Amino acid sequence: MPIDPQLLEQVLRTPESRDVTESPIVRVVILADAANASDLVPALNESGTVEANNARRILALFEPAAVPHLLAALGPAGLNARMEGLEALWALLVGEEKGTVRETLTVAKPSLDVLLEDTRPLPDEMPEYIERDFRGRICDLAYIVVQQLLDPEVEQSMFRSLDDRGRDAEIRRLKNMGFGLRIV
Amino acid sequence: MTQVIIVAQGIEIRDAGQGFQLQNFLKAQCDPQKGSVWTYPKGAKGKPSHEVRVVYDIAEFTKALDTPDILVVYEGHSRYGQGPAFGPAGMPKVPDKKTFPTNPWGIHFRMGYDATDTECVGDLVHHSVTPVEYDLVTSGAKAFLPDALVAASRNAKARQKDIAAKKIKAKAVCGTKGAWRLFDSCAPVLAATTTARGDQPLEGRHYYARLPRKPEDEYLTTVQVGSADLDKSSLRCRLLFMASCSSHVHFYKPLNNRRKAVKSACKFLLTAEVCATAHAKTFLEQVLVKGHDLTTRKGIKKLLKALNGVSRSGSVGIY
Repeated sequence: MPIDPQLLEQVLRTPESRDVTESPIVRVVILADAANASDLVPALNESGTVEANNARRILALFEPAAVPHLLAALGPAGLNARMEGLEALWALLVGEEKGTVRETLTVAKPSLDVLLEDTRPLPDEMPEYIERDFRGRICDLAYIVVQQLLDPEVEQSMFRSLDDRGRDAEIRRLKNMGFGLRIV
Repeated sequence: MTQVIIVAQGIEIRDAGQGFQLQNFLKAQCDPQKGSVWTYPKGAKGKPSHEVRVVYDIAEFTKALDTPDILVVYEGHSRYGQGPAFGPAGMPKVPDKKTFPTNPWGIHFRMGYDATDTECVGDLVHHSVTPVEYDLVTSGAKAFLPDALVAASRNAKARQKDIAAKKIKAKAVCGTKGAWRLFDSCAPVLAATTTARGDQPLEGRHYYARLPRKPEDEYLTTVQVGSADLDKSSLRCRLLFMASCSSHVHFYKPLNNRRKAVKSACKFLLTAEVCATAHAKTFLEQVLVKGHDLTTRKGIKKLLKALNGVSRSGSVGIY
């Protein structure tokens, strides 16, 4: 059942001076159902707002079961939400067992494929002083996150050095290979 | 026992949002001691549970890596893989030569591959640094390079052969993708660019890639890095968090090699992408205030969720 919109709005407006992750609404209501992850995605559409920051913090607390819901909600979402959502995907799966990562990504593959096909540049609202050693697209971020989750030892420099065409070919290869599990 | 945490803040970052957020957190949660030392919890009557030392120079960072059982956070620039760089507060983009005869932007804790790629305009000219060039054409078979530079070197050597064999006409060299091209011949205006320090960082330098950018194109070159500083370290610290852009890409292999060589048990927290957030503050919040035990899987998982629960986290993982 979706979260009551008023309750969600209330929790997302929690001022930054208070730790939203300690809110009983988050602990008892929102995190109780993995499907609730999808209700947080619309708040990610605008960057840097209190609502977006809180949604991101809460999303990170979900367990891997929330991944398919998160990724499905990113389909109709805007550019910023897709970027934030991919970073949240990392938060949900980093540190999990290899089998869990592969299984979760395999189940969510149709939604992930949508992100792996999004060739729009990543939004960049970072301060000028950040030394951007990679400037990619949504699909590049999706590829990097997935590859690094599947193999934490993977060396990403080659992928990063390719032009768009070269990276598109690598992304196609990943999509065709799947994530290491066959769904019977 | 009091857990010691060293936060080493790098050049420029100490003056940016990350620096302010760290100081605000420490003022709110800890008691100041002599120097840049803070103890937690605030107003502790007995022995504090944690001691946080904020350091701003390469010597202190080096010492921290060799201090048994401590937690070390480097929050700063990766400098495109050249390594951590430190400097006094308020360091300008281009420090003047009189005050800084040696440019702090060009001094690094060496902990990388034999070479890295860097931006000619966005780094070398921008900060007026003149690192030693790494010649992609004469690079040896045993060179320790990231995969991207192994490919770039192979490509540059092949193009060089084609040029020598006149398969590529002299006037077409500058437009040849992947060739090791001299700025003086192919981009003479850039080669002659003189910085406010009076340097000409691109004079006599080569590039191997030209990237379309606005308002002007960027060029990539390769510079020598190596791991001279890391090679002196025994990595006795319990955990090293490299809260800098793409630290997994730039430093994981050299760090892992060193960890194996000295049989260290140090764990690394590294980023897979560009990061632009106040990781040191979040780290301290989780370890001090929330009390996560980083010797347990559960504690590490909670820390990772918090670090990755903020925008532009850079995808922090444990290695």
